[in-house]
Amino acid sequence: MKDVIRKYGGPFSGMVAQLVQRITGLLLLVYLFLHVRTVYALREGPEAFDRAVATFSSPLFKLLEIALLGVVILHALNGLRITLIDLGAKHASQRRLFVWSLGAGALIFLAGAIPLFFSSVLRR
Amino acid sequence: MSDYQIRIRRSQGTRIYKVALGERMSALDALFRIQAEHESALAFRCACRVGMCGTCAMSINGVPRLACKTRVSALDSRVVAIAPLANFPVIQDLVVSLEPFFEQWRRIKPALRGSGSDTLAIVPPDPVISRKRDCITCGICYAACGVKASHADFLGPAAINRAFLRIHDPRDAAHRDRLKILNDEWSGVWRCHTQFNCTAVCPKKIDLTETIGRLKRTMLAS
Repeated sequence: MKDVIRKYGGPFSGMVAQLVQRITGLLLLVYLFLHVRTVYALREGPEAFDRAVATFSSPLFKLLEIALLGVVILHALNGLRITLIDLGAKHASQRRLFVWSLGAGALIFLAGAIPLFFSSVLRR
Repeated sequence: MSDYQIRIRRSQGTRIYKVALGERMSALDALFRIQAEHESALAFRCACRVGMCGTCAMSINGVPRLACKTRVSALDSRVVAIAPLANFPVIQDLVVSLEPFFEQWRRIKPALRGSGSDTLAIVPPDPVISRKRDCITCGICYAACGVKASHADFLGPAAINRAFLRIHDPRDAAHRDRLKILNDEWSGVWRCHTQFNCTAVCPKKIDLTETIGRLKRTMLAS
């Protein structure tokens, strides 16, 4: 385990960053599909739409909403990191950029997730 | 001297050897000791033993490295796992065939294709580019490349670096041909996902991902 952490936290951290980008990208695709499906329910009348909205108002979906925030932040900040590198940012700092994007992402996530948790999950 | 457990992925399966090694001894020394004391049939390659030829490239504790330049004590583990380089067909034990690597190398037309008297011109040194000339074609970047593992057609970092050097050589007259090969959607520079594995493991500290990034920007600009 120590070797795995040393390997993927060290020389292969860039590959981990790309894997994170892929996984979060796929999760966002799943979310997008669900979102489009819900909006599509408008065509079936207001009752169908209300039913879908009621499902998404459950505490489980509120927790998933918080997770979605984390996924969006990870994907956006890591994407920004890749864009900076593609534009010619100092390559030697790519690992530092990844760590910074994770740190900044965690702070933004907490700033959004804590109020969301209290207002939508605990209040129910 | 300290005792180490060396786990070698051989052709017949993983074998474990216990050897005593000094603080300054390399993974290559460990292999020679195993060959002398335990298993004379153990197959591995080496030549210069000073990190110049790239012949002893192999995977050590999951990271491709030169065995001669890897001090076992620096690995910070009493268990050392040695395996043949990934992304290459194994011939025997730790010996791999570099044919797929050189197949890609040939695709980018590695030799200088000058035009007439210009070929003899003296090129002024460029500090950014001269570092990239240090490639010893060890295949370590090729073995570490995550894209190469899933896309056999990908040129690989070393071949792209070589093409970059030729393209930036003012004497070269075939840069258009090379750019065309590098611009290929499936096997060219656009296949690179900027993982930095190649840069992280290169024993000559060549920033190969930066080379690929430069080529991408050159192509976009043209």
